Amino acid sequence: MRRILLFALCGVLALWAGYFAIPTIPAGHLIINWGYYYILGVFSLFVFCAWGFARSRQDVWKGWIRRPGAAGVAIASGLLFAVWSDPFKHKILFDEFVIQGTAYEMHATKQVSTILRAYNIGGTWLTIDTFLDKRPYFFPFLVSLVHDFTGYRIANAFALNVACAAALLGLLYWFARELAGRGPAILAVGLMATMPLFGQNATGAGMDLHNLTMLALVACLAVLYLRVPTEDRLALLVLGAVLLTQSRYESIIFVGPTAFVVAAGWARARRVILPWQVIIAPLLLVPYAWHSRVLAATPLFWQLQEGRTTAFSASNVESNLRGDFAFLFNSGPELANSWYLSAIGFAGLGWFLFCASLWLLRRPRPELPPAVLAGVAFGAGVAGHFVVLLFYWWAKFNDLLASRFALPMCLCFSVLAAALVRGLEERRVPALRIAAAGLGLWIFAGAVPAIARRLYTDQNLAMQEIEWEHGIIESRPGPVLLISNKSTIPFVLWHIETIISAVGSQRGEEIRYHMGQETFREVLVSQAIRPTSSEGDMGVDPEDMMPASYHLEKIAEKRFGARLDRLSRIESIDPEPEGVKKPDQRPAVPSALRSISADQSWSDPAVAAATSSAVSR
Amino acid sequence: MNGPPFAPVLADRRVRLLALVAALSAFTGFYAVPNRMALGIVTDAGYWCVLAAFILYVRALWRAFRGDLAGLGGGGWRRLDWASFAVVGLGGLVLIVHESFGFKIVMDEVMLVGTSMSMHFSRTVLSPDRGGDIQGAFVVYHGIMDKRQLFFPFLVSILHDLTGYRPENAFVVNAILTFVFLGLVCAACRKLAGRMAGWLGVALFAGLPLLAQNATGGGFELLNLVMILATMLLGARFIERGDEPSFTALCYSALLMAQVRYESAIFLLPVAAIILWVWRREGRAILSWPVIVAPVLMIHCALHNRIFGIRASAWQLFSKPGLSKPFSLTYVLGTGPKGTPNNLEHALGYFYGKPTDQPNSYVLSTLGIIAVFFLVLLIAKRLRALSSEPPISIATVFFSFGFALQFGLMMCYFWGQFDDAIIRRLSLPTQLWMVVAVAAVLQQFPRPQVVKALLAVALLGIMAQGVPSMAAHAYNQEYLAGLETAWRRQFIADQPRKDYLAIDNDSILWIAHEVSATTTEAARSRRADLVYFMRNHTFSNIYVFQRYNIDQDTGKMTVREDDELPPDYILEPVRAERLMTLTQTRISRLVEIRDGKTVLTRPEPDHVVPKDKAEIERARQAYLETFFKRLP
Repeated sequence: MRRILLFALCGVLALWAGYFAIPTIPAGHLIINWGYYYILGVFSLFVFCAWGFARSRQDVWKGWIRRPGAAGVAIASGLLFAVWSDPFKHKILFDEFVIQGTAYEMHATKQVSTILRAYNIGGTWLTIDTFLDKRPYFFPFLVSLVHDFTGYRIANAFALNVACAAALLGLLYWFARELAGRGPAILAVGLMATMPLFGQNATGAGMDLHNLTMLALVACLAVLYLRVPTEDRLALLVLGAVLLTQSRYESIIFVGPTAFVVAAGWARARRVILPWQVIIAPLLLVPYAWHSRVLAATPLFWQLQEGRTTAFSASNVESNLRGDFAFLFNSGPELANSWYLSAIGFAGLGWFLFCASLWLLRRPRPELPPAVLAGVAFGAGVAGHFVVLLFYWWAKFNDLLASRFALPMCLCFSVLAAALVRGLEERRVPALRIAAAGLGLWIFAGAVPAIARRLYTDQNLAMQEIEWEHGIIESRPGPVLLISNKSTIPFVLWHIETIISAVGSQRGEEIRYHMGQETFREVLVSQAIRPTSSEGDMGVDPEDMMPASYHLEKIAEKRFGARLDRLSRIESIDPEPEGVKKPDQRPAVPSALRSISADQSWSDPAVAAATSSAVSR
Repeated sequence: MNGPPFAPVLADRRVRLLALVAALSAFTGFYAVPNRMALGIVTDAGYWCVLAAFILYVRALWRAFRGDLAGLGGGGWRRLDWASFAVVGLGGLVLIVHESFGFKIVMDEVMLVGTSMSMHFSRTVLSPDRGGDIQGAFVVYHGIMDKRQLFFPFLVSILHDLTGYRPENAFVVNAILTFVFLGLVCAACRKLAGRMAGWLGVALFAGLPLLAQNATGGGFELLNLVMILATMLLGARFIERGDEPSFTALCYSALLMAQVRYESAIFLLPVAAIILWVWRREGRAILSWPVIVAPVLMIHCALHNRIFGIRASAWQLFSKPGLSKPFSLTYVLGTGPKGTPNNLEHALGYFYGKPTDQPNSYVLSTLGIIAVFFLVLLIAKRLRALSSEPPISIATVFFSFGFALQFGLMMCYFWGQFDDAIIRRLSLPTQLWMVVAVAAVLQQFPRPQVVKALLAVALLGIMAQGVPSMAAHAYNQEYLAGLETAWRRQFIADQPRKDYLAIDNDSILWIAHEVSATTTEAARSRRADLVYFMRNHTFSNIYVFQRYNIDQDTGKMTVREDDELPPDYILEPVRAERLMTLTQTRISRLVEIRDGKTVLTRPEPDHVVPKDKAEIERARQAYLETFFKRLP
């Protein structure tokens, strides 16, 4: 009883601390300063509990390692297929660079903030400007850990995602095996691994695959807990769920299914199990509440298009649904979907609903196996996640940047497909053979041709532009100051001093000074050149225009789709006439990231002050 | 074999079903489908037919040989003839190390790679002739159907699937096939006349520069040899075992063999003869469901061959002015009107030409011609008592008819001159027959000294003629198209990015390397489009490939007529080389296009872009629309 009261007290305290006790701005500062230690603490606690649990079951997992069998071959093949299917590169701009920027700061300063501007001062790559990003920071934290142990390099995020892909396939196999047996579980692994979207994320630097892995992990922990409801298993489940909420914004949804599973475990054990890790769990969610308030208070983070005022609206549902189905059943190579997975997944959903209605009609209702109960709970969570996305303005799965939101649903489809096959096999239908043949057909007819072209990755023109600019800058003798029309973060991560165009066009005097001091060997400007008519008649994008006093010399130009990317060198900048007031040339907001940098850089303090901390602003 | 031997066979309902399926397939392939639909069906269904046949072939091989493979377990692999493996490895190495990998026969090999490209990217059967980067990724937007059969491009596409698209995969496939082929030669000759005969067979081929040329090329000749020999060996196995797995493997091997080179369909005759012979011997029909459906998987071959009817140019009769028929008996000895080729003379010209001119092997030619003569005598002597012969000898007899027919067909072909730089490769099946004949005749010489002596001669041939000839590969130097292809590939490799446009009559070569390209004729006729692209910086550069002929007296260079661009296309040479004495091959940059004194492509000052995003988007859409229409 005392524990229940303590748990309730923690809940109330968490609510008060999360939403009332601390104003939004200080809450943001708390995340920046202490978020790293918070996530380190939760992660350490989880690892400690997991290690204790693993030690008690050494014979089980050592047996898997010694004799991986067909499952090991399937998981390894699936991982190889996924890694082979797409090149290691940043896929989602600029999310992945922002994550890398956060990981860099967590590694270098142990603060939860994203590097925005940095200079090489006296041989040290010194962060000048940062901001608190909207994204949960468990994945950047893990990347920073890899940096800590192996040294900073951008490729660490790719390595971590490959590890996540391997873990996910292993967890998927285990869960599906619990639910449907070995053969269907191998099929589930095959279905997931051969979907191009999976390979795209396994070789990217985004947090989506990590989120999916955490989701699968928590579902597996739920099965373990429901099998034998004990304190150590419950602690592991709840801590896993807390980490899951720090993997993606909307993963907070899975707190609900976790709570349901916890209660189901209590019912099975016929007692309330409340280890201290669970009692304090509500308090562990307080940083999430703070972070979500910062996000809510910063409309810019929603990346709303011009004219939009809300991120969520019922008016988005119809178009989102259309986009989602267009993605799920697309048969061409332009999207990273698997129509086979979607088809068999929907069939599995139908089968599940049929079985569920039979179960509901039965009297007395038989007790559900742990895997089924956990599957239903987390499946409902995935459905809830899908419904939330239906209302979001930028969540059509057929949008190349939003396709990754389909991953939880696709994971669910894989499990449903395994359940369907098992159900049909029990009715003497050779479903596994048929499904395996279908998988082979899908690989030849759908997966390999799509992977061969990789349009869903290669048509990311912004990434190509960044790579092209990076290649040219790297080929020139440095140091170079880049005035970028995109974002500073990718270049800062490559240790190239960068400011954005809006700032560059305002800081003529300062740039002229440094050109005179030879701080930089060259000052380069990137600009978008856009067509003005059907005949081309190209011109510089107004947002990238430099003042007339800047004298530019074009050094390279390349077409990317229907526009050109131009790199020019500043030959000279005319001195500014004294007493002239600078006009406010802040550009219209093309993207949140760019605007954030513009906002943050607007009131640049002197270098000495800025080196102290971004939090001070 | 007393009584009516075929009665039980004919009484078998499965045989009638097979006959019905075959008849229906033949009717569909040759008559039912109109010409206008035929090539479209091959484009969409060809890949899947070959894939199905290939899967069934692999399955059949597995079922036929799984017992043998099981014997390798438990230390059985130690009993393998590792010395023969070493001989094959060494022979293969000799064949692939001396010549550089590249396209040796153009445009045949490039067309094959093009087909493999579309098979890989879209599972369609087309050789891409238009493609480019529109929105960040190279996409093929048009292709043409090639006349060549599909099995080789299919294998290359499988390698693309596994390792990613690159034209060089064709060379990798051929390098692998070289070792497979030598392994099969070793196995066949060993079965005929013992272990040393196997080594002799390998040695004879290892000293053949023509094989080295094809082993390092991108053509389908190696696969053709592999499939002929594999089918012959499977025929021997079927004769030996008379079981269903061997039968299925033989049938599917033959089915795929017929999809390598056009004329390899000839070898379906000996295969059919072997099957009927075994059925008769066994007094029953040996059949399986994969073989009953096999004719369906060949419908696309019949449809594909319609290309010769649809496109008269597919025979390439224009290559030999004065000749009007693709096949004629007059071509054998040149007995027609003046200009009729004497193919037999040309064949001897190849077999005994100078090693600097012809990639031949005197040892193989001499031993082979003698052996074929004696093999014919042997066949005539033993044809009536075939059943007492070992299975491999029976298969050799049947296939000898196939080899003879193939040789005869080549001699009747208007372009069947074995000493022609492009046609030499068509002699390879005949040279395979020669080697098989050497081993078959060696059976008659039980004394091991004979084979040892021949082996010594073959080794001497490798050292004295084969290796020097391969190392110098002077026989390649007269084939300018091949040299120019290698030269252009080097240019492509030297460019940091593939964001330029190539103007070249062999535009498919560039497209196969994922470079935008158009023909010189199109560049001439679409001047306005080129101006549009140059003014909008669509391509980082526009390069023009041209060949200049050099007057041997004056040294004056004249651009080849097909490569000529109008004088107001201002070119700046970028790279030039005299690949042959009297030609210069040149790549130039198209600097500008003029109209009189007006420079049409002069860069304009930047226009003013509107600030309104909707207006920008409208302009972008309008530009993209025009851009698509004007693409080369």
